[in-house]
Amino acid sequence: MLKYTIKRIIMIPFMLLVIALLIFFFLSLSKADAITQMLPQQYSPEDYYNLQHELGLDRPVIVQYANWVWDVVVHGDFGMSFKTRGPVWKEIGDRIPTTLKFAAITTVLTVALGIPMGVIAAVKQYSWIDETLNVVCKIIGSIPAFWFALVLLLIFSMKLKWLPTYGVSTPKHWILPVITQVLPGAAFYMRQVRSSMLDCIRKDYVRTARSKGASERTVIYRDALRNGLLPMITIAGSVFAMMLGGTVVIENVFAMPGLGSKVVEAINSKDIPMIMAAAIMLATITCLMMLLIDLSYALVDPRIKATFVSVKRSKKVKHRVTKEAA
Amino acid sequence: MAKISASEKAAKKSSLKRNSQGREVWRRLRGRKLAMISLGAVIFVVLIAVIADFVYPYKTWAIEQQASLKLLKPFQDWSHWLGCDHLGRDMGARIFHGTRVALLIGIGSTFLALFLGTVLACICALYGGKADLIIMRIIDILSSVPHIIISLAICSGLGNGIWQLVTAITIGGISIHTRMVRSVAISVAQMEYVESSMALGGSAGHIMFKHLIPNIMSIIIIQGASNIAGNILIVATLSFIGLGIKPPRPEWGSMLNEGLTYMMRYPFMVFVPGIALVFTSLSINTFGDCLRDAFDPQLKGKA
Repeated sequence: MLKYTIKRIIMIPFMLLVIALLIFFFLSLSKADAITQMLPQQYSPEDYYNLQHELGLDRPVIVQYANWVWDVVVHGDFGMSFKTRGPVWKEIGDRIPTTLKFAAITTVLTVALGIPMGVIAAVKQYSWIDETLNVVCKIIGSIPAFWFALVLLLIFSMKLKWLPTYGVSTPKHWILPVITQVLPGAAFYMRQVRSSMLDCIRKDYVRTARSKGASERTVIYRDALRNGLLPMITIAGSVFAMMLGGTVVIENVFAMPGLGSKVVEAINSKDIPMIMAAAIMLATITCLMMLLIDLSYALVDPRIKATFVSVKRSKKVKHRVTKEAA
Repeated sequence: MAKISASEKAAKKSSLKRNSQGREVWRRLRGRKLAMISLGAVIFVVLIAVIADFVYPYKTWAIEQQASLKLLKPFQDWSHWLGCDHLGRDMGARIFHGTRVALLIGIGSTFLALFLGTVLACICALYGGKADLIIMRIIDILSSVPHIIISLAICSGLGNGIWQLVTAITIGGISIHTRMVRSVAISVAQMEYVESSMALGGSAGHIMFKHLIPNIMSIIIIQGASNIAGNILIVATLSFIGLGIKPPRPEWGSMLNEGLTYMMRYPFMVFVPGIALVFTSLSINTFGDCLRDAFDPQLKGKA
C-alpha cells in the first residue's frame, strides 16, 4: 500500500511536466499573435524583434520550456504576465479558492444527489421512477451547460429578478452556477450508480442472500449497496474533473473570479505565462484529487488492498508455513 | 396455419442466408419506435446541413448584413421566419449553415479520435508489455486533465478555424477512446484465431485490420455514436467563449455569445441557436443509445 502511494505521488510531477510541455508547445505556436497584440497599432519590425527578445520568445521552445520549469520548480515563480507586466502568481493565487470551493461544492452535491437517485432507479428497475429519471437524465445530458446557465439567468435573474446575475459576493450568487453544474453532473453520476447497482443486484451473492431468507431491505442495503457503491468512489474522481472543467465555462457566464474565467481571459489576450499558470494549476488540482480518490478507494475496498500486499511477502509466508508443516 | 408456414419460410431463408450483424442490428432498430424517431431526427439534421447552401446561399444570406432588419423577431416576416440578429443577418440561414459546421467538426473529430484511439488500443492489445505500458502512461497523462483544458490550450495555440478545432477536440478525446477500445481489444487479441493468424505469419497490420478491428467494430460504433453529440457541445462551448470559429462564419456557440448582450430584450437570440443545439445533440444521443441497445440487447436497460 505504501509502495503504491509513493509510486502514485512520484508520478504526479512527471505527469504535470508532460502536460506543461504539451501546452507549452501549442501555445508557442501563437507567439506571433501574442507579440503583435502587445505592440501599438503601428510598429516596425525592429519593435517586434525587441519585444520578442525581451519576452524571451526568440529562444527555441525547448529552452523556453526548460527555463519555465526551472523558474517554477526552483523559485516558485510563474513568470510575468504579458498583459499587466505583474507577477502571474499573484493573480492566479487569489483565484484558486473560488474555483476550489465551487468545484468542491458541486462535486459533493452531485454525489449526494446522484447516489440516491441511482439506487432508487436500480432497485425499482423499469418502474415509472426509473423511466422518468432516465428520460430526464438523457435530456439534461444533451443540454450544453452554458446554454442552461443562460436560460436560468434569463428566467430567474432577469425576468423574475429573484437572484443576482453576476459575481460571488453573497451565497445567493452561488445558487445558479451551482445548479447549472450539479444537474448535468448528477444526471451522469446517477446513470453510473444505476448501472453499477444493477450489476450487483444480479450477482450470485445477492441471490444467495435472498435465498437465505434475508429481507429485501437487508439484501439491498447490506449486500448490493455496499458492493455497488464502491466503484462509485472512482467515478467521483472523474466527476470532480468534470466539475473543474465545467468551471471554465460557468465562471465565464456568471463572471465568477476563478481560475476558469482567468484562463479564458488570458487566452483571449494571448497572455502565455498566465495561460500556462492557470492551466497547470487546474491540472495539478485534478491530479491531486485523483490521487486522493484512488487512495481512499484502495483503503475502503479490502479486495483492492489485498492486491497491494506484495507477492514476495505472501510467498515467504507460504514458504514458512510449509516448512513448519514439514 | 398460414402464419406458421410463413415463419418457417422465414426461418429457412435465414438459415440459407447468413445474417450479418449489420442486418441483425437494423432489424432490432426497426422494431423500436424511439430508434426510428431519433433516426429521423438525425437524418433531418444532416439534410439541413446538406441543403443549407441551396436554401440560403452563404454570401447573400448568412453573412450579408441588412440594417433595416436589425433584431427582427421570429415569425413576423416569413422570408426571415427565425428572425434576424443584431446585425440584420437572417437567423434561419445562420442556423442552417451552423448545422454544417457543427456536424462537420462533431463527426470529423469523433472519427479521427476514434481511429487514432483504436489503432493505439490495438497496438496495446497486440504487443502488450512495454508498448502497452508507454501508451497507457501517455493516455493516463492526457486524461488527468479535464478534456476542455487541453482543447482550450490547443485552440489558443492553433488559432480559430474548423481544422484547428477538429485537431483540438481530437487530441482531447483520444484518451477516453483508447481506454474503452483497449479493454475490449485485449480480450479479442487472446482469441485462437488471432493466435493462429500470428502463427501463420500474419503481419501486425493484417491482424489489426482483418481480425481485431472487425471483431470490436460494435464497440467502436457505439463509442462513436455516443461521442458525436458531446463533441458538438464542446465545439459550441469553445466558440461561446470566443475560441472556436472566426466570427463571420455562423456557428451556434458564437451566435449564443453574440446573443448574450441582447438576451434581456430579445431572448430569441439565445433560444433559437440553443434549441438547434439541444435538438441536434438530443437526437444524436438518443439514436446512439438505441444503437447500443440494438448492438447488444443484453446491455439494454443498463448503463
